[in-house]
Amino acid sequence: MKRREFLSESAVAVASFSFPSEILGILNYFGFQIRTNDPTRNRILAVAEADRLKSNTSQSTHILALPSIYRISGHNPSASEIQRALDNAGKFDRSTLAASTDFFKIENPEQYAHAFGIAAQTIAVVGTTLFPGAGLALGMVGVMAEDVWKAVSHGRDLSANPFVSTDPEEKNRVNRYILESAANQSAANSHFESGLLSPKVRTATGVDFGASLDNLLAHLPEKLRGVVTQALETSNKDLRGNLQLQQTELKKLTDKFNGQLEEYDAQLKTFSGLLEQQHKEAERELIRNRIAGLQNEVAAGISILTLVVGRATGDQRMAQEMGKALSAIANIGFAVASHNYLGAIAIGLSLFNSSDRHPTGLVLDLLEKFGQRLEHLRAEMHERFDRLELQQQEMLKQLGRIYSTIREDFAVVSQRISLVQSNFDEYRKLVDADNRNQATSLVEQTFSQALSVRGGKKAGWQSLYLNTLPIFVNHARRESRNSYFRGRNNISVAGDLAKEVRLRNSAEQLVGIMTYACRMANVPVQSDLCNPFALELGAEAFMQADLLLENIPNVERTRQLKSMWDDATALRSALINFGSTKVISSLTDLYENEFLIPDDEQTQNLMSTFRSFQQKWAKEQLKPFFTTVDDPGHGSDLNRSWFDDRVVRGRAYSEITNNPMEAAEALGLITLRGPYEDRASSNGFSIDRYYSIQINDGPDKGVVLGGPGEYRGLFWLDQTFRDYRGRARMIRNHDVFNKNTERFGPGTIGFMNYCEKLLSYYYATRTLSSHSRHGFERRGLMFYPP
Amino acid sequence: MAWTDLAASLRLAATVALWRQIVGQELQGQTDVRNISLFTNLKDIIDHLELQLQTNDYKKAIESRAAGEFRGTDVFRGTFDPRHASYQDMETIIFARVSRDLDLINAIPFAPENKSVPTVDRTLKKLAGYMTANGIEFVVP
Repeated sequence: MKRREFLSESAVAVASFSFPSEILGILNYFGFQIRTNDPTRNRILAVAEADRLKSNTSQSTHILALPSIYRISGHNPSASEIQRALDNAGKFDRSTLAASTDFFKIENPEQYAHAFGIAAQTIAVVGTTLFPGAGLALGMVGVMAEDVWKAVSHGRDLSANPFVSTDPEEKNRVNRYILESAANQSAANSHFESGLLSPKVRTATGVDFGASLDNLLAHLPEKLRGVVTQALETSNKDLRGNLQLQQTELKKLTDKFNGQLEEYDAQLKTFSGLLEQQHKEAERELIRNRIAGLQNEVAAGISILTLVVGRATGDQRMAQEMGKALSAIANIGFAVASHNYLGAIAIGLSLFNSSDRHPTGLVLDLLEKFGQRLEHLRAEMHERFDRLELQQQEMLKQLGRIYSTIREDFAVVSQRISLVQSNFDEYRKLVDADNRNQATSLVEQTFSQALSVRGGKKAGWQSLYLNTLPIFVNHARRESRNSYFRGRNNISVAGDLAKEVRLRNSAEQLVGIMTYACRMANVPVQSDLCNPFALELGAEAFMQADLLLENIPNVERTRQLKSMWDDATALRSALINFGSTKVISSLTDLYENEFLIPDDEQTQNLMSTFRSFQQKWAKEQLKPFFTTVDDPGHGSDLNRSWFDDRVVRGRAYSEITNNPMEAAEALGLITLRGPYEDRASSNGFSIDRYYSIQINDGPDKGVVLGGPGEYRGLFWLDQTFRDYRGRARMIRNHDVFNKNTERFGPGTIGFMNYCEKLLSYYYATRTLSSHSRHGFERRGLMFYPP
Repeated sequence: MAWTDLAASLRLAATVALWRQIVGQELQGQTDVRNISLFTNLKDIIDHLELQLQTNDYKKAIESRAAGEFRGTDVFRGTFDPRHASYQDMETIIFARVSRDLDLINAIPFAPENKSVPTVDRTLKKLAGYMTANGIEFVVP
């Protein structure tokens, strides 16, 4: 057995522990020649596993049978092939593997454990991107890989490893598959059905798959049986057509699901704590089993839910879609709980991108709750002012917002998703750029090391120096030249250039796309330009190395120096050309001519952006600010602005609505109390109505203005007499505001201004991006920075 | 070609033009494209509209129209409320903003006597000196 194959077997074994179909899909993607797209295979797999479990209860290596089944069935297996697989599966165990001659000929294999772990984690990140659905499974593999390697390298039986041990939950899972397989057997192909119903399988498993679903219940573990029985009993109440009852039953199940997620979160925290303390191994195992059990419970719960919903509503497709959505949500939960944020984001994005239909209300509820969980989690995270960390936080924040505000508008949500998506891309590229920076700093490091060795001149320094120098010189020659990082220089899709500029921000990292930008302005510029700073560093390193070499032969130096010279001169002329008035003005002309022309779909033109904004705003049914509404009973010949206190008195006017105070009241930033007293005005034609105002937000939170028994504070003048041809609501001018706090100006205008600031505060603390907030502060519209 | 590509190119070109005028030693990461304001992507627009939405100067607008109603559509006084805008208004606000941005870019003086990017020149000097010292011939463009 080849080592590589064995590792792939191990990976399969570990993977099957969590979500077999997904992880096998990934392995398939990486060329392990395992085809699992056909769900029937999973069913067969389950049957085979069950067979091994039930027929060889003493043997605990059932998981190692998985690959053999897949290997045998390169195509859709026939009944005889299934039988053969079942017959042979028992022979594919650890001893077979260990008998192989070249099995682990590595000296001190444990030293590779960490590397293997890292590699698995890298695959997890990449795989999550390529195949978001498997984020969790890959994350698990990443977490476990190192331990698995160690276990195997110590000659321990892989199946004896706690990660792949035969535990009751594992059996539950297999049984669940059997139940599903049997329930859906009519949908499966004839080969499978005949295989499933064959006497061989019946004898081996002790289950008659031809029997009805209810009989199969007896074979379920007790815990699972309870749930299914309950669900099926409910379905006897004829849920069909009764939407309310359906929702109630579903809610029961999803509440349980939520509770499980929370428990999972808590258990994982305990587990991470225990990981630090090596001596508490038994405790660790216990928690680890509990975590795995919880995952299985959630998966089983969703599976049963899907089954029951399908039966209850008679809409199998809807049920399956919901099941898929729930699984994805569960995976997000698991990924977040295990700090696999990239996985969480990737799964979330795929969930939205793939849903053609509007998700059901239940799923929306779950997403909303999940958004709150995410936001909470983000707030809990330690603030490390690291660039990547910040980027992660930003992505989490946006994702949390998407989930919690999902009801507001799907058009807007999809825009935000594309923002998160681009953030995600940026994040990956930033990591890439960081790697390049590391390569550059490596050159510097090696250089200083070589210098110190040379400067020290201790005994034997020459050989040491010669040992160090080749690496250094090679770096200076090749690596540093490769690290003349110029950003992307292969722009082919419209919109990519803009994305690159937004991503890199620094001009020196964008020289790569200068060629494409110049092409638009019809100015020729040499392609393949390099980053000036990186070039300087590289040239410096090369010259220093060349100096250090002294008499050591260096035949390529001339060519290297000349090519660096050429690079620098090409860059110089390109920078001069690109920043010239000619290029800028021709780009300007182009821009002015082009910016209203509809673009390709990928980049969304300006107007389509606004259209979706308008759709959103139209739904808010906003009145224009400070609208004057004429009194329909009387009409109006005089429109007065609301703040003109002098004009209002004894004149005809219209009601002014939608002012800052109304807005503040609507948002709950202030509360009007009262009226606590009505008084006739001095002219006897109107009633002055007194209110007090409570401030609920901002720096004056809790302050109450005015109150019963005091003829001060605010009051509304409410004129409703027929003699007046309109009515107005206004705030009278009272000095009391100045006494309470200096933030208020005198009278109506003062309080309106105050309400404006309250609104500003509200928006700034809740909705504004940091960039906007800055502008806000600068304009003096804030009380203080939130 | 997309409008975003054009806008981004403009922003980059203007940054490079500014970069060439830097006096003294510049450092990596200091040539920030964001110093040049121009709509280049969806996020810019959303930010801008958000800002506009929150910073409407009600008071000035009302004072400038003591009588009559205030609709808040005065783009050029900065009292524009995009929520009430029609499609044409949107075009107007974009045009106003873009014109302002482009004016800014056009105002960058073109001064050929200014030295080009100091980093490149410095590198060239070093290379030239080293090659001369080592007797290596090279072509000066």
